[in-house]
Amino acid sequence: MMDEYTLASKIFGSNRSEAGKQSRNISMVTGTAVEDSSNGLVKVDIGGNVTGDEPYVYVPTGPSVKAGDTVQVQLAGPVAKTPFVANVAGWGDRIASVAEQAEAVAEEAKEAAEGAGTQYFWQNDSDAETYGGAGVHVTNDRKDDWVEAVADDFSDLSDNHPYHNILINSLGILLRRALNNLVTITRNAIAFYDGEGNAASNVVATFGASGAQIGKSTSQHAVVDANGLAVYNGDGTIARVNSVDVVAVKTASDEASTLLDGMRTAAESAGTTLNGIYKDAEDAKESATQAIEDATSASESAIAAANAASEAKEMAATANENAASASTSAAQAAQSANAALTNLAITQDVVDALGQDVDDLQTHVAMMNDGLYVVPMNGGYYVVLSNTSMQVRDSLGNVVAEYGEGFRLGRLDGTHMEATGSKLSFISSDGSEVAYIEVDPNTGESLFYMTRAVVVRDLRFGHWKWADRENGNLALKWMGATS
Amino acid sequence: MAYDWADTDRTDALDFVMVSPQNLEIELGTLDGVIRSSSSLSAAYYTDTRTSGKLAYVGDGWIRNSFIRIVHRIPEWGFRRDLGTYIVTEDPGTREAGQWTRSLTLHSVLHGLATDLGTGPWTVSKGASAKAAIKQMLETCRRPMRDLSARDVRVGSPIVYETGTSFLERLFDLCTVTNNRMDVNGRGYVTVAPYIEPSRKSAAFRLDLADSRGLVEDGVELSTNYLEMPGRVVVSYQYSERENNESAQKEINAAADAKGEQSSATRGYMVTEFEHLSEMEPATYQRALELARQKLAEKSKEQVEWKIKSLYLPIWEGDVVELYVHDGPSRYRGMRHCLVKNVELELEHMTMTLTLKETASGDDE
Repeated sequence: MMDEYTLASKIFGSNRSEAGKQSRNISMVTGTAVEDSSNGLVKVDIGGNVTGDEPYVYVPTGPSVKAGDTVQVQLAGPVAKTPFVANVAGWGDRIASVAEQAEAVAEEAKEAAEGAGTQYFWQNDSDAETYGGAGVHVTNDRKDDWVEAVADDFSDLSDNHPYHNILINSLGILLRRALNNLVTITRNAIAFYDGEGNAASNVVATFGASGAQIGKSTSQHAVVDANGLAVYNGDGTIARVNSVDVVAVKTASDEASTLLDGMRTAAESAGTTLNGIYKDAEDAKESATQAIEDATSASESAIAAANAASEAKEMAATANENAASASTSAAQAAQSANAALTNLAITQDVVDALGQDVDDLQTHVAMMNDGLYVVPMNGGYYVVLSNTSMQVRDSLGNVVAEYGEGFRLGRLDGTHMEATGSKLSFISSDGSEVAYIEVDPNTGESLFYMTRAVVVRDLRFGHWKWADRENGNLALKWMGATS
Repeated sequence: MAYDWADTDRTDALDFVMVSPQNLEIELGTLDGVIRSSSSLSAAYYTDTRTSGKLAYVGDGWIRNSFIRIVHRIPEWGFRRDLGTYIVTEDPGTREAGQWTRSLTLHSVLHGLATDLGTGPWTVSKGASAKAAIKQMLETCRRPMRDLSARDVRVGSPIVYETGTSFLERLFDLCTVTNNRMDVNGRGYVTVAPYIEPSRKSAAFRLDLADSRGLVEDGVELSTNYLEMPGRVVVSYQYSERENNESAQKEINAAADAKGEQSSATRGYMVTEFEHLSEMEPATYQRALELARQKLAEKSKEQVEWKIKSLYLPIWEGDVVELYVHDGPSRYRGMRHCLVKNVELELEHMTMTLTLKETASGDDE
């Protein structure tokens, strides 16, 4: 049964020695983002070796990362570290820039809000020339001050001048700069003006129930109405797009697209060809590099061979000198020998005859790889002596007898007899053992075993004899105690 | 074939072969003049380089930078075993009476992985094969891997090994990730094989202390740490937390108490081990208590070790043997299933000093 400690060990994991020896620690490396970050991950090149499909690694990231950014990758763990993009070089400046922009917008909004300041609501019933219409006004000056300012300095339309106002009456709402409309909201439409006047030529856009127009009527403008979308010059229609026109444009576009596809296919084909050429060139370069390496290797070998040859030459020279010396000695020895021969009165004929005998002997006794061959001068059967056996072979090289630890008489492929230390066998040409003599391990007696036998005349067992009688019968006959 | 290792009539021949560092199958020659009485080998299961040794020889026979392979032969048995193939890490010499003696310090080829530090980071991408990373690292270090059916895993999230960490450290970590064990064989090849807890290994030898013709010499040492095992483990974690824009220092302490023999109730006094954590996730009392229980469990396995001297046996660190003890404290009698933790082999008489650690003690150093 498992005790509680063993159980806890199983639950909490192995207690193997090599695991978790070291405490966790944190460090940083620098890398380069290969792509923009997405879904909290970014592909980073942190250098070194990478085991995986590509030489980059997807790393979880805190900040948003753009391709090419230098990132600081935090590595946490004892040995194998888990990477995490903790920072991006320039991230602070980027954030600061955004913050400054936000701050500027906020400042403008604040100024606008402050500029709005105190608003005055007042009403007039008539005097369109002074007020630009009757109704309720919203201005940032008192009524009289505003009227005075507009009357005095209407030419100064700088942005910070408090001319902007709102006029509301039963006809609609007018957002104005001094007395010039900027936006009018009436029963029929919303119109945007250029702020230079209130004539139809000052209208830059209208949106109404019957349609919309963008652009002044006196210059290029577009009209969307129940007939479709039309684009006009200031002096007439220059194009009109309706459903038919769209189909025509689409058809033309499709044709152009088809043409472009064809061009792209051709370009890709050309690219493939170029790749092929590049590959061939690379292969050729590789082959050339290999050839250079082979040549270098061959050259080194040649140099080594030359050195060896040089050494050999020196050795040969030394040998030559030794040979010359030996030759001299030999000549002296020969002279001595000749003198000795002369003294012994051995004739040259005798020497020649002996030499011939020695030659004959050398011709017919030879040491081969597998033993010593003793071959008769006129051919025929010969003897091979080796470490393990002596063989008698016929003129064709067939072993007809072999003597070693045992012996064999007769060719291996014919009927033959074999003997080992404890057994003598008679073997037929088909390789089957037809008879053998062997010691019975149980009794210690040497016995003769025969597979099949034909006794031509008689067969004796001690004093008994089986005999083939002339009358065709088989007789068992007592031969007598002394036979 | 079963050999009678108690047969002391055999001939223990040792060959000291110099091997090419580039190809372990190329033998450069035999180192002559080795002084066996000053030479020994050792192997230890819990060391990084697994095996080391020292070798003294007379003369100047060692070919510089060659590795040395020590081969044990018993000619009459036709037995041959590569005891180890080593890097030479030191070769000081002394001259006495006109004769030079060199003392070589030997370390396994794993030493060459410990000295090889990464010049750049090594990343294993998410989904990549950890075994492929092991193989690539070993190839980088010019050490072909002998893959003994090692396990593989696909890495769940990317892992990075920093610049400057040794390849040995990286490889051990990857072996932990894949649940393999890296070792070195006698021929000098780095092997990676599935990690098997020693308690699940079968015994390679049976050593009987009472066997009159036994392999074990007299003089057995028994050591155990049961008196040092803690009765309580306390885990303490200090951290700072921001509250109302102010940093507050906080502390979590959790204690796990043992039962049974190591408890204060039995001992009459408490043995407490205090562990300060540098980090803890999540920072809760429950997590601290879990960790305290885990650490108590780890420290509650009695470490029982036996030290014996024996005649030479073809065993090495990591093997498992059955040790039969017939006397002594009853608690430690009977068959003891032991990991061969340390081996000290002196080459003059071919005797071994074995440190055997009971496998029930777990596989912690």
